[in-house]
Amino acid sequence: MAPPDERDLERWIAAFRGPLIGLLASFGLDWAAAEELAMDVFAEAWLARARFAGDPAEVEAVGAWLRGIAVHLYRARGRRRAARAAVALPEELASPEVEDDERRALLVAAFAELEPEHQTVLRMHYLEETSAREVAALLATTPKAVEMRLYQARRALRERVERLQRRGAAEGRR
Amino acid sequence: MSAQDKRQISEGELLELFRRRRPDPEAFRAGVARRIAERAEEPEQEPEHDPDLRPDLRALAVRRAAALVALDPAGGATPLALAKGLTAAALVPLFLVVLHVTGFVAGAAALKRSIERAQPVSGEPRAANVSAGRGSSSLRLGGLLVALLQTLGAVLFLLPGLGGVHWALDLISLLFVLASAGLVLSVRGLAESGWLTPKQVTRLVTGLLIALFAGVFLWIGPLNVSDAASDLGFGASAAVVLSGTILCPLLARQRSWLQVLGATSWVVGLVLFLNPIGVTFSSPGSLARQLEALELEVGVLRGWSEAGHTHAALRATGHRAPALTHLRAPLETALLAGRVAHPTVWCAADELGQVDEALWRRLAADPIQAHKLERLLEADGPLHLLPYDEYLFAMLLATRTLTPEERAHLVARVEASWPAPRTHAPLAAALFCVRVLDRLGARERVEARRADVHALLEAHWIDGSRYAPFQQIGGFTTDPTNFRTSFEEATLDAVELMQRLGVPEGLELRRVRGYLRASSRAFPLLFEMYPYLHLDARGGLLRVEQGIGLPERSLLARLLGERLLIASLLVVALCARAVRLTPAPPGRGALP
Repeated sequence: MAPPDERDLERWIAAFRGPLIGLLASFGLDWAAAEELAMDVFAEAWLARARFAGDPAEVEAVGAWLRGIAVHLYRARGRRRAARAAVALPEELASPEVEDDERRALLVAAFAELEPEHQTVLRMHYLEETSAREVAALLATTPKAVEMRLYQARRALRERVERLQRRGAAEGRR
Repeated sequence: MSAQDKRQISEGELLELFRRRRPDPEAFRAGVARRIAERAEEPEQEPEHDPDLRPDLRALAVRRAAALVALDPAGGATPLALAKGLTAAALVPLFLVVLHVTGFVAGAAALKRSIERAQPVSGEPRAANVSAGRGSSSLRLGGLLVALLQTLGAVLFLLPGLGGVHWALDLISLLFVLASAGLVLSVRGLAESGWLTPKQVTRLVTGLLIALFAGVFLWIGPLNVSDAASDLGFGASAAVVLSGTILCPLLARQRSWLQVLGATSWVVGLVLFLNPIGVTFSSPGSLARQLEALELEVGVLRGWSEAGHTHAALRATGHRAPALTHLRAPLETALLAGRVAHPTVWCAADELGQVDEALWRRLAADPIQAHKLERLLEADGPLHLLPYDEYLFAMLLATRTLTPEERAHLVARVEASWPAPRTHAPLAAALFCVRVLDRLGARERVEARRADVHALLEAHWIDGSRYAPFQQIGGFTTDPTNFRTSFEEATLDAVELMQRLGVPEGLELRRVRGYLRASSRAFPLLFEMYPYLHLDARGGLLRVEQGIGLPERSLLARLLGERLLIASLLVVALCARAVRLTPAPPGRGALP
């Protein structure tokens, strides 16, 4: 099988950029760091393309390949950071920023209360509205499972939003 | 909008939520291209030079060395064994200790490797997911081993009379190997599945230690599994495993005080109510306090008997025995009321030092007692007395001055009463004869019986070499033909005989100690309903440890004797290592 060419890389970036950044953000990185690391992943995938044994057009094979590189680079980054941990300040990854839009603030607060796997699938899918197939390839699961998880996540998010609204209203009355 | 859509946040709203985090496609492509260009200029590294891809040579070396060491005792043990005088029986404990140490070393290296290579945490594992076969194969295999540990723990103790074999503890200690393997595989599985969080690992190790405790230590005591070789007893190992259930949650990088509190309450409750740590309350000071606390009526025969034996044991081992003057009153009251207490009570009262000459005279004035004394001196042949009739000789010697002829007559009658072969409870009869001969001052006649006593002891010792269902090993039986199990009374008689006439060659006193230690165990620990029920055994234990004295052992033999403790320490250390190595989760991820 021919090794991937530059058009394949273009396709990979277009298809996996959003879910890969979403996945890395789910590992605990902030968005900027996740984006930087995602660039590293594609660069590494390109440079090591000779070792890729699958079909460059097959989403599942590419997804598994990119995920492997992503995990490897994430761990290597973690080890480098651990070595510098004595001097570095911890990142406050999940601390909510000040939101000017009330509805948005409510959604962010509700999102923070979701199960980690629901957060992950929402980040990966909605960052760039990627199809379930690419998300599934990166998560080593099936598109059907991703769709089910997305449905559960959106429903859970709504429930939490409504709960927070009720709590806010009750506090307002007091 | 459909009803289903109404139950969810809309897609438009979610896309809008993440919009500001969306990368600029052009800038992203440029970033990738820049990295490719930069990396292309760097000298190419061979994969084996990449520290992340290089195999962990140290762990590999440790694993291989450990594998070789594990085989050494079996494969190359002969010269070593001959040099150190190790018997074949000692090779099994040696092999087990090496197996546990090897398992720990290899397990610790495997844990480190698994945790270093863990997938990033992607969520919480759910029991349903694991049981449905999701997650890694290591996780399923680890779960299987833990389940096997629980099952085997239960099955082992359902086997008829596991306690009846002296290698039962070695068999049980193999469960510790299973526990270590289960732990390592489960941690690897959690790491491979992206579920490796301090919470999960703490839950795993706590569950594992509880399973180990329930499978081993909860039953080891009640079923009298012999821990004879150990100086500390199985209780020390149980204490280590129980401490591990508190220690591991404390060491976790994401500590749950609720879990620590729960584990502590569980352990304290267990210790207080079930005494799994095997506390025996058999120190001389404790025995003296237990005696002082006794309030006995003349009808409580067992209480008097146990108190008397314990008091005698304290004196026989050179310890201070309490005066217990308060126990004289019930005797006097009974006598004044015209009631004569049971002979057991008079024997015990004599041992407790509560019967002086005046009280013996008052008792001897009773017509029945006077008749019994007369028959002692006037009749010929065997005495036909029971062991508790020994008080008659105390009363006789306190109330009459015997002539040499009378004394010789009594000695002859006692000697004629020596237990014949195949009689029931010959140890009790022999002890009666020895004690009475000592009272009569015929010590040379006692010495002449040394070989007979040793033969009796050897014939009645339950050493575990012959299997019998549900037998308790280490003690002595009343009838080796019909009852292949230890009895407390026979064992206490044997211990007193051994203290007086020495231990026969080939009789392992540590096994006797093991049996008495199990019989002395306080249950429950918090409040003993009838503390005197254990006094006898505790006195016997004191005699074995301090009156007779256990034979010296080499350091290696002592170490091998503590193999269950070593296994417990290593499993708890492995659990603690797994907990400490697991990093704190990086947070819940970036918010939109």
